[in-house]
Amino acid sequence: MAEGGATGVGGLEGLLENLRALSGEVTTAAVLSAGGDLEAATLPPGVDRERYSAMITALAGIARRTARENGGSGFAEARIRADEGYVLLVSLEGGRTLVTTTGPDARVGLVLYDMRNTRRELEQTSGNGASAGSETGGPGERKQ
Amino acid sequence: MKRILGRLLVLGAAAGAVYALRNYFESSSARASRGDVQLTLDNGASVEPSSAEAQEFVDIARKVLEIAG
Repeated sequence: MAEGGATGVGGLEGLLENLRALSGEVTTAAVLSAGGDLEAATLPPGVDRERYSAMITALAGIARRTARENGGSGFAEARIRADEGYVLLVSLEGGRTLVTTTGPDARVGLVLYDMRNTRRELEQTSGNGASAGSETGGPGERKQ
Repeated sequence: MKRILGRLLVLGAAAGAVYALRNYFESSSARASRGDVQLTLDNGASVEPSSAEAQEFVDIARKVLEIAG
């Protein structure tokens, strides 16, 4: 798995690295499986992956619970602001979740837009078991 | 001796009060405020959780950001 750089470009980590490269404000990006496992992540060296995974699993769990309490069957997106920055969640097919973190001054709307585009590519990747297709309108299409 | 004990007691109480106040201000500055958490449900509705739930979100998000560096 990637740690601070792109490995396995064309797979999940490649897509996450693309997202990070496109949205310069994204500090970390990860895909969480329905069971709470970290499928792929771009984390700086030295980051405790297990703790990171446990925390974002907890966050996704609360988001699902809150969505159910408010009449939905799940959440599509969640935006959480703390003093240190933002944590953004976008729900993927099959109960998976795309998670990113940003600094406090990030343009969150833009990051969410890129996450939505990446979602399509991630879903295609998992659906085909291959790298993303070219007609997805993915994050590579937005110029920085 | 009595006077020294009395002064120590006053000093202890003052230190305790300062500690309590410091904790109070630290926790209130970290409290979730309106708009900190926004959820879009799968049916398209936008939801802002209750303050208790929002606090839970923010506390965990803070930990995520801390771990992520």
